[in-house]
Amino acid sequence: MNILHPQWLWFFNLILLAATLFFGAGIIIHTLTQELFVKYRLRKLVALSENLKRLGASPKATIQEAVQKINKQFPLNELIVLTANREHFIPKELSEYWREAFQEAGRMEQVRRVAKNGKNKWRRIEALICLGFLKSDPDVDILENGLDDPDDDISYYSMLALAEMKNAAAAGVLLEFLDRESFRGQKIVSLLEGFSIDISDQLLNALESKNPRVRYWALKLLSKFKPENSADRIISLATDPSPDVRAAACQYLGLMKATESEKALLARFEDPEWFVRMHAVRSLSMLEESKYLTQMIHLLYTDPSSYVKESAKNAVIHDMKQALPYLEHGLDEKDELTKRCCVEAFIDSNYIPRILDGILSKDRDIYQKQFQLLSKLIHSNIHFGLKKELMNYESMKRQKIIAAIREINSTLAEIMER
Amino acid sequence: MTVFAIFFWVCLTYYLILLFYYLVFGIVGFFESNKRNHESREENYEAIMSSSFTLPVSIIIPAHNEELWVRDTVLSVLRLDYPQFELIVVDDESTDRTLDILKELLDLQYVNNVYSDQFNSGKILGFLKSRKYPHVSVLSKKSGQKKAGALNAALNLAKYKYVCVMDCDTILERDALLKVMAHVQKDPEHVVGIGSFFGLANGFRIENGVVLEKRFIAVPLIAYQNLEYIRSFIGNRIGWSRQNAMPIISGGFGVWRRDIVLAAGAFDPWYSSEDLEFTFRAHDYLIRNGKRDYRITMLPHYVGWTEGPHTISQLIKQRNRWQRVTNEAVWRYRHMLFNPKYGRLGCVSLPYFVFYEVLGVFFEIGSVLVTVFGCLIGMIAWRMLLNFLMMMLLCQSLTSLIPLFILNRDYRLLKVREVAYFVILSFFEFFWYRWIIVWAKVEGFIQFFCGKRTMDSIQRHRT
Repeated sequence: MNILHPQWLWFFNLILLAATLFFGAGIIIHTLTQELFVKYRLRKLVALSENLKRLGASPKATIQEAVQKINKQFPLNELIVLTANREHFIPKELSEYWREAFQEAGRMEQVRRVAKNGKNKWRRIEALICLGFLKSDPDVDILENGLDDPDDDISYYSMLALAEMKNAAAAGVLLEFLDRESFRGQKIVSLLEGFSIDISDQLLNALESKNPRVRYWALKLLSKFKPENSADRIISLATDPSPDVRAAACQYLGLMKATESEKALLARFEDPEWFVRMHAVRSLSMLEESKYLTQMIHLLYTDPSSYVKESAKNAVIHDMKQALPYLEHGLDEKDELTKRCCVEAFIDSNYIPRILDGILSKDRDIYQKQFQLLSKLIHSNIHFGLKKELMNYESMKRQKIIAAIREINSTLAEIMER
Repeated sequence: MTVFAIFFWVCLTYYLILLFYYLVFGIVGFFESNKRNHESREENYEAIMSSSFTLPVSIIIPAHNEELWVRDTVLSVLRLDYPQFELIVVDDESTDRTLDILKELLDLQYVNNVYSDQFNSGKILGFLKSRKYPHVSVLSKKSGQKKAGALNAALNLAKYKYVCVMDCDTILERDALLKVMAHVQKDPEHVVGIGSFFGLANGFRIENGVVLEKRFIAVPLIAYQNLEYIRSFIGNRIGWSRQNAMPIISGGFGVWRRDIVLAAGAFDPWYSSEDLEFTFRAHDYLIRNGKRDYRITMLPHYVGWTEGPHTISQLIKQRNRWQRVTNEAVWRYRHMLFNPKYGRLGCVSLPYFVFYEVLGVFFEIGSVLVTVFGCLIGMIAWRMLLNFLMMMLLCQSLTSLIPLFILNRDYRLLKVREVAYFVILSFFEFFWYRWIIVWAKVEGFIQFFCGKRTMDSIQRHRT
């Protein structure tokens, strides 16, 4: 056999050609049948949805009767799919009737069977979601078992189904699951957020958990519900061994505006973790804007973290009158970060126009004071939007300010003139 | 004779391996797409929309002379169904009306902002805030640092944990971010990067950022690009994603965890394009730092539509740049190749890049030249030449049909006549389109060796 004449290549090409043609034709036929099937199915579902919408205004008994009829007419699989994806077909105001009719149709056992042992994974998931919607208490166990299923998808959708139940039992199961699978905390709390405030007690109990992630997420969720009389327990968490929990506690105390938490927050100014200090500063500034100015300024000058400095800066600018001497002093600081925060304080508090107005003042004292401040700002070498501010002045006044700038820095004055 | 035979067999083996690779990843992609499709159907998007715990996202749009698209792109972002996001548009010193359009659309005003540049991303010309949309800001900067520089400038301002990077000609679907972030929300500790499928918007009817009609135009040059996008996203990428060996999150639409972007050193303007290189770098950074349980994922959901080149010269220009960046990234991260430390990325997807995306062009040209030459000097029979070319053609066709089937089975995006047209086109790709791409790749190779690193933008042409 000539190695450059492999006979098999011809046969291989024939197979490849057959496969390609078969596949090509298959795709076209598949698309065609799908299109027809989808059209038929869509027409059916649109009709169902329209009929249900029309039912909305009918008397209760009529709705119940009609929904029951629909429930009995549909094959089980269709009914599960329809219920799992009800947001597309069933008007919200009819979901209660749908739930009742489903339960009364005597098909619950069949759904439970699919949810427990369904061979098709996605059918099983739809049945689990269906059980969540039906909110039947005994089904919490089935969903709880689903959470521990080795298949990640079944576990995830069991979680979503439990969230549909929105009752204490489901909340308890989800909180226990949070203890086991902390990395899902974000998702679990976002689901629990849809529950009523009644789960607050369970969340307060979760604060006693040994797992810091559970304490952290329970705190985060509690800050949404803000139950009354919880301040004491939260204050005690401000000294929690976990820095995440301490930070969340500080954040919560600020949101609650609990004045009794001032001392606890102030103590956190010494926390070894920057984000705890940052939240303590932010929360304290929500409680008392000016009472702790010196402590805030101290942090602004000495804290190594830019985030803490920035939070302290945001806190002190609410009382510029008191903070001004400190901020002015900060402009001479050697630490670049502190200097930057002080410049930002002048910008954020909208103090730059006041300085420029002072430059235009005929009062010598005011002029001197503001000139000195402007000089320090310019010498800080940090951009503070001087050119843009100058644009707000008419030509004569602008020239006067530029003349003052020339005394400080002639090159900058030239740039401003341009 | 021996050298001739060896070369012939090498080329033949190359095509058979490639076909096998595509078949395997086609099958893997089929299961992955099926799974993602089901996941998306059963997800409770309403709960995500209404939760205050839903992860907020900073969306970054770099724009350089994008007057034809910027309005629709920004509007499509503003219409997103997502509870909390900020939008930062970076105007990279456009010389057309881009900035004026933005000012008019968003009612912008200049603001003072203390800005600290962590990545040397270029001089900032101004900060603008929208009076109409408080969550939108525009950053005007000097050009010269390519798209990477513009992205870095916005990264300095971005405040949320996740950043969504997109192109200025990508029109997003309303649920784009929701679908992608729903996946992230499942496991935010491990998912560090995520992308999704987007196709070509050429021929679509788009008004005020809304795609009113998805009309896949029949012009073969555009249709072949569409077929290529489908092949690339739905074929290999979905398969790689299942293996957690995703080598590229496309710059057209991708979400990254900001801390990882910052820790890995942000986007590098040295390269001709930033997306491929950054994805490799993110893998490299995470693996070197012992974070083995991370995920960089690709979803098959269509999230947006972008403009493809409308002329052959523009297509060559675009593919030339893609080839350069592939070469640059593969050369930079060659230490990953077949390195067990990098798992499937080093042993499955990177080899594909080396042997198909980089060296493939030489196999393609070489195999045709050798067989034709062999035929001319009488060493290979004409029948053999035809057989060989037919095999190349059928391999090409089959590799297009598998992803086309997956896409239409799970997402029903195309109508029957469009599917039929794509099927027919797939048989003719080998006769001309393939060689345009080969030409662009060769050009890209030459420019790579000449040290060209510019990011040539393609000429916009909106109908």
